[in-house]
Amino acid sequence: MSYYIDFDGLRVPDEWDEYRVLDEDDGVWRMCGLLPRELPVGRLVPEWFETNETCPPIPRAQWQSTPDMRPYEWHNRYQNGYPACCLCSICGAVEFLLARDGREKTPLDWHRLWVETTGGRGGCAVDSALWHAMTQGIPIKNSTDRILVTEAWDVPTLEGFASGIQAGAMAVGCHDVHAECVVGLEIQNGTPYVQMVNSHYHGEKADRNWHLFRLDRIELRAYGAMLIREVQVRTVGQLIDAKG
Amino acid sequence: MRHTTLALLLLTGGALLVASPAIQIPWPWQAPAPIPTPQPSAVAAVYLIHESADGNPAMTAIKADLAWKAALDSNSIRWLIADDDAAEKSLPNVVALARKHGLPAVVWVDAAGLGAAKACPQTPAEMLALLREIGAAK
Repeated sequence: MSYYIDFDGLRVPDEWDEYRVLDEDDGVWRMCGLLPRELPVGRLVPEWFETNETCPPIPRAQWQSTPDMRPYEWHNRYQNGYPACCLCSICGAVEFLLARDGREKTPLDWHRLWVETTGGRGGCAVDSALWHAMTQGIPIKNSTDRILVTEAWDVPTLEGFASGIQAGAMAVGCHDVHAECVVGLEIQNGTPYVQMVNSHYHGEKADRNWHLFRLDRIELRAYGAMLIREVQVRTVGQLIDAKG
Repeated sequence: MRHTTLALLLLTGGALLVASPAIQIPWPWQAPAPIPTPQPSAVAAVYLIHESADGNPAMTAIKADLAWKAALDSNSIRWLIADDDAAEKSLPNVVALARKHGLPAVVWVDAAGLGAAKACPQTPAEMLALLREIGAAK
């Protein structure tokens, strides 16, 4: 892991200590904020391989590295001591999709999304956060419009996760009480890694957000891994609420 | 005399004067401007329309490639990558062209609004070559 944060102790209540993780690299405690998944795979977010819209799985022997996505980073999502890692990660995946596909670069408000999903009281699970993004949308900074995630999947296997990334989806990968945006796959000496973009750095240190992480360290059962492939900008009036 | 009623020609100062009827013809003689032949309008926008469920590593490489996007940007040509269903409402004619041609397809629209389509190439280099072929990239 490679975590670093300008930790604002005054903002972080004591009860948020459970969201902090000891950085293996430098022994510093970093704010993460991921809760265990709310429900089993496929209950809140559709399961990959379960619909006709999913891409065929790619055999492991044919896996290949995907292009570097660094040139498409245009908006830093620094979580700034809030236990909002999975909200920052979902916003990141969507923002990378927008940039890569030539759509309007719309800055998302991860903080408002965090308040909506948690009430501003703590961490969040990635399946419930993405379900919120698919039903209520993600708030756009300085706007009443929202971005609705229209195609996303909960992935039951690492093979499915890697296949979806190679097929062009952006993603969220979870591990160690932490969620990070995943923008690609990297094969090094036969070992698959994911290209991760953290939300722990900003300013001059922002480049440290980019790192490789072993695919097999993603914790599917405990936290989950999600693929995001399509989004739409909608005004609040166009949104259809979920059934209670 | 019949000849005097036809014309009286005077050559003065480089101008040929026809006395009757009084028409002035410029001299030296200038060829008329050629009739303009219609030229294809410049490409105004390029769209890569695909079915996201058919995603694969080759398409991902094209989607993420910077070279062809930079070439279009340098010519101020708008570009967009979109799933056909997602773009159906905002770009119905472009999507119809792409679907008619077969997905994935590259659709370009000229300044006059006329569209054309070709099959999406297999590699980023071929994508750039296609854009050069249609005059959208140098």
